[in-house]
Formats: sequence, C-alpha cells, structure tokens
Amino acid sequence: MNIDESRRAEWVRAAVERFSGPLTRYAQVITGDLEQARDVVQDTFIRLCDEKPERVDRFLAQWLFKVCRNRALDVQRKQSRMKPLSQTGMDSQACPDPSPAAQAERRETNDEVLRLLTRLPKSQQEVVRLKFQNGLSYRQISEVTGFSVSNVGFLMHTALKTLRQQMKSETTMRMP
Amino acid sequence: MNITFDDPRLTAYALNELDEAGRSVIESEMQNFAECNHEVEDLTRAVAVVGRALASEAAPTLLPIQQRTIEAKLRLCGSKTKPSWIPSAECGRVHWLLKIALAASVVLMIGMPRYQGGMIGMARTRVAIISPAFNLLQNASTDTAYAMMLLSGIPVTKQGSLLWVRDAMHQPHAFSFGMDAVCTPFYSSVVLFVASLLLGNLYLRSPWKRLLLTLFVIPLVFVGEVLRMFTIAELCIHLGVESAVDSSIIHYGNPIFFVLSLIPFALLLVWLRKLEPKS
Repeated sequence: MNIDESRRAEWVRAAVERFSGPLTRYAQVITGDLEQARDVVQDTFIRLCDEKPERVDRFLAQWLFKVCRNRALDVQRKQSRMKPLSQTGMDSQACPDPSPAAQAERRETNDEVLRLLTRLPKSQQEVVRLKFQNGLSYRQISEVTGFSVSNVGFLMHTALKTLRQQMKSETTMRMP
Repeated sequence: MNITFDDPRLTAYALNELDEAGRSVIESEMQNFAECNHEVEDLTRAVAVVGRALASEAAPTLLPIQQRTIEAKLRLCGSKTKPSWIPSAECGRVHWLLKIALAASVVLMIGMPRYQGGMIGMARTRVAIISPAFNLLQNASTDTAYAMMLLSGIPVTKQGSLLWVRDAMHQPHAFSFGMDAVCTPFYSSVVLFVASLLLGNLYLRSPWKRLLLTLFVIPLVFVGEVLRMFTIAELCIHLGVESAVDSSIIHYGNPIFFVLSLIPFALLLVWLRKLEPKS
C-alpha cells in the first residue's frame, strides 16, 4: 500500500469513526430496522472506499448521507415489495417481537420528544433529524434529500410547529 | 412582505439559517411586529428541547463483522493501486494494449497455417512475415544456440539463420532455425502469451504483475527455443540427422518443450499470486 492509499485508508477510517453512528441512526429511521440500517451503512462506506478523497472530501457529510439515503430507500422499497408475500401479514409487521437488545435500545430513545417526532410525516422527521442530529444546514439537507432549500425550510417549519403544539398539549412535556 | 406568525422564515431565523441580508430583513420586520419576538423565543426554546432530545438518542454502531468488511475492502483497494511508475493515463493505456494484444493473438492464431509436417530444413517464411518481432526473437535464439553449441564443442557453422553441423558420420547437414514454422514453437508461444493475458486478468489484480507475467513469456520463449535447438543439434551429432529426424523429440518435441516452459511460468504466477494481499 503506497502513501496515497494509506492516506485514503486513514480518511475512510476517520469517516467510519465519525459518521457510522449518525448514518446508522439515519438509515434506521428510513428502513425501520437496525440490522438493515447497519448493512446500508456498510454498503455506504464500501462505496466510499472507491471514491477519491479529493473529489468527495469537501462535501463528505452530504455525500455519505445521500448515498446512505438512496441505499436505505432501495432496501425499503424491496422490503415493501416483499410485504404482500408475507404469510403473517400486517399484524406481525406492526407488532414485531422485540429482542432484549432492541428493547433496551427502545427504552433509551423512548422519551417524549422522540415519540412525538415519530408521529410526524417521514419527510419532516428526516429534515429534523438531519438538522438536529447531524448538524446539516438547509442547503446540505437539500443536497442529501433532493428537496429544494425552500421546501426544506417549509418542512422544518411545519415539523417544529406540530411538535410545539403537541408538546404543549402533552402534560408530561415540560417546556422551560 | 409582512411577516406573520406562521412564516417559515421565522423558523429559519431561529435556526440561524438566514444570511446577513435575510436576518436584517426579519429583524427590521420584528421591530414592527413585537409579537413575533415572542414567537421566535418560543421557537428557540422548542429548538433547544428537540435538539437535546435528539442528541440524547443513542447512535448504534456497526458490528465488528461489518467493520472488518470495510477494512477488507480498503485492503482490496490498496492492492488495486497502480504502480507509481505508471501515470494514471498510462495505466489505462496499458490495459487497452493488453486487450488489443489479446485480440491480435486470437486473430493470429486463427490465421496461422496448420502444422502439416515435421521436416527439418523446410522453409516457411509466413510466420516471419507475420511477426517481425518474433523473427527478431528467433534470430536471437539462433545466435544464442550457436554460441552454446560452440561452447559445448559441437562442430557448427552459421550462415544467416542456418546452422550447419557435422553429424556422427561427419557429413555436413544444414538445418534452419528461426525462419521455420515447423521448427519453432510458434503456436506454443502464442498460446503462452494468450494464457499469460488471461491468467493475469483472472488471478492478478495489480497491472504491473499482469504486465510482468506477460513480459515473462518473451525470455521463456527465448530460453525454450535455445534449449530446443541445442537438443536437436545434440541429437543430430550423436544419432545422425536421419535418426534424429525420426526421433520422437522431433515429432512430439514441441509439446514437451511447451510443458517444460509451463513450469517456470506457473511458478511465477504462483509467486505473483502470493504477493497479492489477501482480501
């Protein structure tokens, strides 16, 4: 492995270190399944290995989230095509048996705001997560999702308005 | 445009998404519409709450097997690296040259006249016309074989591409090397060349190793040809030309030398394959 390759390997490893968590969380929201999300993120980083750092590094976060999103949507589409073939039907899909790890994971994330967030439409959840969990700007969210910048602003505004209304109506939610 | 409570620009303002000009516009409008200040404050609080909630959400990590898969891919990418002595454009050109060479070899093999006899001394110059490079290689082989025969004490004289030897009966006999399709392992060389391209592409990843394997065919053909000529000369000296002509080494010699030449070829391929990083 020459210097360029070792530099590239370090670059990919740093990206894995920094983005694997946020990407897995993001993919999990789209696919609805942690294992599939992990596979999606693995595929994303494998694609990154084939990219030249000088081409991607300037907009690495957008590139990773965009590739991850497209892959996750592919997985989700395939999964939705497979649903009608399932013998168990919608009931088992709606109430899957959670594993102990999934239960623990669910308990960690099961606070008020996150529950309210899941009630939002997918597109609104997505922009909110990209903004608050991953620190992307409206423009970067636009590049990742393909929505226009003004559409991202509108989705964010609507999501926050809905969340605020629901938070006010929820007695358990304490607004400072 | 007057600002309202339900204006997405207020959210963008609270999220610090506006540029300087946008912020100035909003701030000036908020001065005229004081209730918007409360709206922005409320928005800012909501943003803080949502931000804290989402930040507290655990980020799942990749499993060790997935991390190992990425590492394996990285190693694979490293092994695919082009050698530093070939610039990126050149690397692509070498790849195309190999493809062209492969196609040319196939065409050459199809167009080659079929081997029909085993007569020493029958000149068939079509091969030499088709491939001047091969002719050059053959002449070099003849010169080397001539030098080897002299060194080993075989009574030999050289005229052009013809080597004259005296057999056991001290009768001068001429047999030509190099210009003769019958006496040259031309088919074997082409097959070896095509095999080097195919096997290189199948088993080797780095272009320089493929190139090395293909280039190795040249000295292999050269050494093989020298050894073959030397063996035939020895047979002619010790058995006589007539016996040598009837010997199996003349009739079935080419496959034997071809198989012999496969040994170092296979050894080199195995060695280069071992140098490949495991993925």
